[in-house]
Amino acid sequence: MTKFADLHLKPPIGNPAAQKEMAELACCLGYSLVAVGFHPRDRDEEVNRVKKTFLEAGLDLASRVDISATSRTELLKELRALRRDFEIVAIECKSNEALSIAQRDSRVDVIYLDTALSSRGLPLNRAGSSSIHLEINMSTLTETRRLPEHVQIARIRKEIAKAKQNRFRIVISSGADDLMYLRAPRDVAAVGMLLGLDREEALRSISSIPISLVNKNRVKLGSRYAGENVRIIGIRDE
Amino acid sequence: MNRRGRRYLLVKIVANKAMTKKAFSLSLVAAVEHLFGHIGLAEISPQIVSYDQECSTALVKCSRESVQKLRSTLALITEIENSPAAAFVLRTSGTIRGLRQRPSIKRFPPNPDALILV
Repeated sequence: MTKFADLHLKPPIGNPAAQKEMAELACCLGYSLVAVGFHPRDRDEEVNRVKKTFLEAGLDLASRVDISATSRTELLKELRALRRDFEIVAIECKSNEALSIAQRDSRVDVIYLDTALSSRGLPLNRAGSSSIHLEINMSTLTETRRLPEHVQIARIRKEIAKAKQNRFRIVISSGADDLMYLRAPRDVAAVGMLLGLDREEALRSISSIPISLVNKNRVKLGSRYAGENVRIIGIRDE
Repeated sequence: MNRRGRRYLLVKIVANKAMTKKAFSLSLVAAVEHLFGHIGLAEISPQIVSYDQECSTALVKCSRESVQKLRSTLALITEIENSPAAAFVLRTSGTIRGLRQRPSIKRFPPNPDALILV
């Protein structure tokens, strides 16, 4: 059976009841893994408490941090401070400079673009061997109404076409901060198809791609990881 | 003559007030028309076969080729009659009997009170 993942949930961190409801609904809709966005200053106890709530509902939880950067120095400083603390590091690129750095930095997992910013779109370079993913948030279509819907859809389609051309892996997430904005995985995939992905790509963008990203990062954050393709298998006392 | 292929979707509607069949039907047609236009509406031809107001579930019929379009339309519904609402596709099937035979439908939602907005 296919496992589905939503890499961007934003339940209110100070409200355990809302978290529980969201976790139960996500589980019921068929997700097996979700990533919850935390504030960079959230303590380990808070992360563990939310993790426990989601685990009790039957969901695996990955911790995620969203960095909103406008300049190179700001982005690098945040990455240095936060990379080891969270399983997913997502960057909201608000300038060409930040996007250019984020695309080349292997510490960045996910980038998402503010489509309301520019009608020309931000320049995506060819994705290298790094693990960078482009994220499309459903909330840009359902929650925010900064642009008319058809303009928003056209811009996202353009970004997806550009990302496919540049061999980015695409992830579709709900970006839900409320129960009302959660959607079933296959419904999310259907929206992905509306945005220019084919059926297989759309299903992969909510299943195998996000799950393999989380698994890869968990290995990297583990104590046995020493570098790309290098793992500590034991320490011998001399 | 060959029959036109149809698909049936079991849809759960979540809103802060009880929705009538008419309200959901109007909202669905408007949403399809908004996204795909008149031609799209004719191709998809969504129809509500039955509606259970108590459970807020609807059985929606559409053409077989347009299931994904209808799913995406339902996913993008955020309002019905100017009040916040969401629609989840619980099951799809080629026959109505196929939809009714699945037992896990009864388990949704886990806590119905949680889905009512205050």
